[in-house]
Amino acid sequence: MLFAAKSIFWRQLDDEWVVFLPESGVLTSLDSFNATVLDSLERGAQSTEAIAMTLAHDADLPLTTALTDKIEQVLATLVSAGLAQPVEP
Amino acid sequence: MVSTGPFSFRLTSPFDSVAKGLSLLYGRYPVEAADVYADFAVHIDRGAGLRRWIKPQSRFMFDGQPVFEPLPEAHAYPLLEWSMNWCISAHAHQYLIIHAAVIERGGRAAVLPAPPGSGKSTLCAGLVHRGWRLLSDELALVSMADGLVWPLCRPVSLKNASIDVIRRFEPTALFNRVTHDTTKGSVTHMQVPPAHLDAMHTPAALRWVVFPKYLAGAPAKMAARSRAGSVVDLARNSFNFGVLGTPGFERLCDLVEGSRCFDFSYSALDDAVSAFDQLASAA
Repeated sequence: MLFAAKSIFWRQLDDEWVVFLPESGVLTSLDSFNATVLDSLERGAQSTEAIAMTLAHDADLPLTTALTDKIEQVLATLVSAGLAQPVEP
Repeated sequence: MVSTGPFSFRLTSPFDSVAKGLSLLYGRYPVEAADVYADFAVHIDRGAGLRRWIKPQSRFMFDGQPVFEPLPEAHAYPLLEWSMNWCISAHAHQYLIIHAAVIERGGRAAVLPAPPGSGKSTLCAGLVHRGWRLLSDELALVSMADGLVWPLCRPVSLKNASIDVIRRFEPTALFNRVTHDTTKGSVTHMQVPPAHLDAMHTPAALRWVVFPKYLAGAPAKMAARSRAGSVVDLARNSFNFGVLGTPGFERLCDLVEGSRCFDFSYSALDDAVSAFDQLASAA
């Protein structure tokens, strides 16, 4: 399954991000990891595995099941918050 | 016709309690001629039909139309103040409006956002008698144009136990008659210290966002909090964030970006005053 970000505005404050979705008025704060996942979606719809590979490369993280599971949880949170949505490949 | 901060109100009512309250609380405010344009026309009228005489009521009429459910006649004066708040929060979208008290010292403003019952107004009423200028006890007006916080400078609303707390804390403070059995309990309004009226049109730059919480027996404690979380909580306390959309989001982030944010818990007003004095001198 692929995930895509909705049209959002955001601002970094210290080491957190505030994200605003104008179409619904959703406003939430994200820590750096969650913000990085959302940022990757803004570049185009991606699968969990693709996001994990990118993060592992950019942040020098081990590409493990734990990382993929964490990204899946974050994606579920982002979808629940209305900031991302599942899309057809 | 009364000017309070950036707004002018044409206030009319047949009730003696409203006239007396206005005389006590707004007697030193700028008054305009009756035929000058007013931003808002607030009329606190008698109840309709039999309610004019039987269990008599008071009603807020805006442009000739009732806005809220009627209240008992005895609640006419608080209804006036609540109606004035509604006028601003429902229409003044040239401001980002936050449900918060605002005080100022040295040209720097502290916004105190909080839901009802948090002790915000008690804290505000205490601080304005200890060296802080009152901008507002209820509505923080952040200009969408320049990002400054503009004063409203209206009487401070106090309720229930906080009334006696402030009477003891500042015996020279003047209060309107207490209205009992409202939906908020017993309420009154405290006159704004007259010296603050001279600065009614002087804005301030936001420097601190302080989320207050009264906790019985607790020592005064100012704890730094997340600025990102503060943006979210300020929006939650805003009357019109949803109306303003993306410009409101950008303005709110700009506001917090230049501020320090805190959670503040307290029980004794003297301790709270000291804590805010330290805040002002540390900046």
